[in-house]
Amino acid sequence: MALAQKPFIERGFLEKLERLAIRWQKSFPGLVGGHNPSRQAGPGLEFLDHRHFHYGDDLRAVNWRAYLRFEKLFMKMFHVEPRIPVRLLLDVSRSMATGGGTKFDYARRLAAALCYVGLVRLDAISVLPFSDRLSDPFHCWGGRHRFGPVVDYLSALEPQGRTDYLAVVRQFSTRFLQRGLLIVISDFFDDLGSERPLQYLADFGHELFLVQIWDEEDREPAAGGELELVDAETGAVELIDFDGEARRRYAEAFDEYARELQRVALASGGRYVGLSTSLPVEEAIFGPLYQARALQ
Amino acid sequence: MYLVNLSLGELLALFGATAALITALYLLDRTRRRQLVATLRFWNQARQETRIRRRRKIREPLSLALQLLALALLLVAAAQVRWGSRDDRAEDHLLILDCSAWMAARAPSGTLMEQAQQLAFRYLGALPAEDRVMLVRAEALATPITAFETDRELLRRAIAESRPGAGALHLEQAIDFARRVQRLHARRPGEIVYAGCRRTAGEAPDLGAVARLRLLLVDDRIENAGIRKIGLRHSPTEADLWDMYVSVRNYGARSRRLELRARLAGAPAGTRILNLDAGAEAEAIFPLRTRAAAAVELDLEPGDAFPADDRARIELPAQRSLRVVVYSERPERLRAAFESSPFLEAYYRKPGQALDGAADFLVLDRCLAPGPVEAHTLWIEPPAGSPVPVRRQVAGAVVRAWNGNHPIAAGLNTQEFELRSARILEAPEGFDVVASVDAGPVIVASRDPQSLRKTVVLGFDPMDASARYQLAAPLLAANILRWIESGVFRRWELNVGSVGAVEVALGERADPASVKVLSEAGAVLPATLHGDRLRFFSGAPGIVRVLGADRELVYSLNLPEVGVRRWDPPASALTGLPDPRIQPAASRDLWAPLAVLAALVLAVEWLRFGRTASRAASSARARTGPLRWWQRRVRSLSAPSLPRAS
Repeated sequence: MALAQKPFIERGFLEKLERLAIRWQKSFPGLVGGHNPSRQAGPGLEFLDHRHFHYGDDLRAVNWRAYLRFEKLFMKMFHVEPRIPVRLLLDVSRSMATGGGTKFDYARRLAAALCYVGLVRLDAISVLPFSDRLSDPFHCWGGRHRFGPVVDYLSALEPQGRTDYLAVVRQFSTRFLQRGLLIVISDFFDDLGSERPLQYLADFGHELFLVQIWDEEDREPAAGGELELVDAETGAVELIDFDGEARRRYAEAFDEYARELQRVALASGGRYVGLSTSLPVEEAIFGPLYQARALQ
Repeated sequence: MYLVNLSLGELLALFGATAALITALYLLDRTRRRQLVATLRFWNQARQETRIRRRRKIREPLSLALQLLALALLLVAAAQVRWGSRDDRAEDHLLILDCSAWMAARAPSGTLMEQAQQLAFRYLGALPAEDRVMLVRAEALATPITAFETDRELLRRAIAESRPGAGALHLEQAIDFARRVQRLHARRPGEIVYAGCRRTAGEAPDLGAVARLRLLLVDDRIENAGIRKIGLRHSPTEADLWDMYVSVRNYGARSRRLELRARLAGAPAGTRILNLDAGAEAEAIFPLRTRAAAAVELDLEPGDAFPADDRARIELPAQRSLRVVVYSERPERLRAAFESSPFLEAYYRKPGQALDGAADFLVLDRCLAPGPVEAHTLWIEPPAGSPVPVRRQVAGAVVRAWNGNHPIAAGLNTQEFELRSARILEAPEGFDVVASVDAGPVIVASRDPQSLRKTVVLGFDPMDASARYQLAAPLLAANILRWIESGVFRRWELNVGSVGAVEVALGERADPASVKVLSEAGAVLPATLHGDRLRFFSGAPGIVRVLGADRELVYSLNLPEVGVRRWDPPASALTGLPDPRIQPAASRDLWAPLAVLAALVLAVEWLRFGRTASRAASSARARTGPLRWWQRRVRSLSAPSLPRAS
């Protein structure tokens, strides 16, 4: 489902995104970095401190000006550059294409925006489309000039398959052992439930950032009366008499599910953002996502 | 209870059709629809206990019932249902409002017109609402202003816009008109109502028995004296003298001493004191001297409650005369012919003498013109060099043939016009032969089509002793002068009077083809001619011109015509306003409460059943509508129960 109608992301929006950075909260054992200030010295560009020279140190880090003045060898220390893996799980199941595909387009635009933020900040982001299985990752890193391939990749995605979070989480856990920030952009519509698989990921040590996307029709169906409902993913058919009371119960169930997702994310130290497709992506970035401190 | 706009059958048919449509739409709205959804997870949780067993089962029957009830109420309201009996007590009345000139007279409580209007308003207010009324304005003519109407506001507006006219009331005509209208157009004839002051033109009308005649009379005991008519005639003996005849009438009940003042071009021209008994009429004569155009103004003092006939103004036309220059060796012989009319200014010159000043008419008696001729010309016995060559001269000739089609020979057909000697003329091209003797033409005439100059050539001396004492000679001279410049000899009369029928005494048996009656704009007015009596009618104030062969009568119909007779109504006529208490409304209109009730039913239906549907519809609209962004914003902010971000 190509996005040929309008630019994937406008240039003005990209310029605004350059001021942002992806933020995470957890400390990952064995990893440092990100945009959280680190006192650990290592290879980097930003000066941190001096220390005495010890045998075996790299002579290239000696401060020769200090030696000329004090006749002692001092070593310059630098901040370690961040290298936390950021993985973006993008739901491409058929449920994302209902309602004219607004959710799918919205999710792709949002993913592209987050990728651009990561590219600008030299973060390494892996985009992992999924439905009932996990697709091969698409790695994007190396600066803003690498944004073009990202757009091409996202534009070429097609909604397919049904959602199976348990299978996807199982594949993910076996393929990606290194813990990191896990951004999940999805409607989380899995008949078997997505709460438990997401909890597995959190328990494994990943920091979850859940972005739930819904269409207005998902939360407040316009239709009423006798309805023959067809599940977009499974093809299952249900007959229902949908009146005001049923509409109320539907909305309550939807909101309860969203609250459960939020609880899963918060309980593991992650974050949750629910977005309606009626809210433009730009406003979502600088509104709910920024307020949730997913971006800074 | 009955319907005004629709019959019961029409109402039921209309209701059946629309109810069927609404029911079909209702069922269509509630038929099962197939919908693709992202997940069934929440739908299953929203499922109701009862499963759908039948298709097209009417759900929410109360909603359908309320909609049908509202529809029925609206249709009945549109059909204009009325509560009460339909015993056809509604009547059609005809209100004749007196709009004669006299209604402009002032009384202490306003003009008579205003009083009549107030009475008419009160009469409308006293009538049952379902009664229809037609308004007729009556003066010289009866003019219907509205059809039979129940709309009181329209009738009140028409009454309020009525103004006094310029003519007198012709009540007989108005009552006849009312009778005819009631007979032909009224559903149930009601009253013929006259609102006015009963002053009519001419004789008191004999109306006979008028059924259900009601009079709303205005007290018009007002003292008034005014100018009735004015006539101006030109003096036949003096060119600059006008005789003005002014007729003044005392319409009141007391004797009055009146002062009639005339002014010519702003300067006083005379004053006449008139002592008039009640109902008397007197005439005053003013001689006015002017040759130029001027305005004559007349004022009647002291003023009274009807000022429209206390003042008059007339425009006098300029009176021009014909300047005649006679070249002759024997002027004393021609003097009698050219000094007979005050409209001729004759100047005599010797042949060869220079022409000083302009001339309208040049008479060349046996001589040639002193220079180029730029005026009408009369040649008498022309010498060689004239425009008409002389063939020969004969003696003892008798005029045998007159050209009856030529104006110069009009009325001349004598065979005994003897001439002692005559010159036989050669009529060149463009000349008409007017009279001939046996030997040839002796009178020829021409009219130049470019310069419109006229030339007459006489081959004999009309003042010769043998001709001057014959009857044809002065007639011939008069015809020549009239043909040369007819406007100078036209008789003028100016008359100032009132609109309506005008009768003119032409004084002679005029040819209908030569008489024209023209309006101020030049349009021909219809007129009848019986003998010497010309009759025409003018319904509006203005100027009417009556053109005859040698006469022009100007009628300035600007004076108001005041009725001189007071009509005595029959004893069976009702007077005053009807009592509204004895004419209760036969039925009451119910459309307004029905419409309100229908709106209430619709509101209840919407509050009970329609809100969710409308919300859903608005949600559907939001996906395509122009306000999509705003609706999205509002919706995104109006979901407090939904977790936003953590």
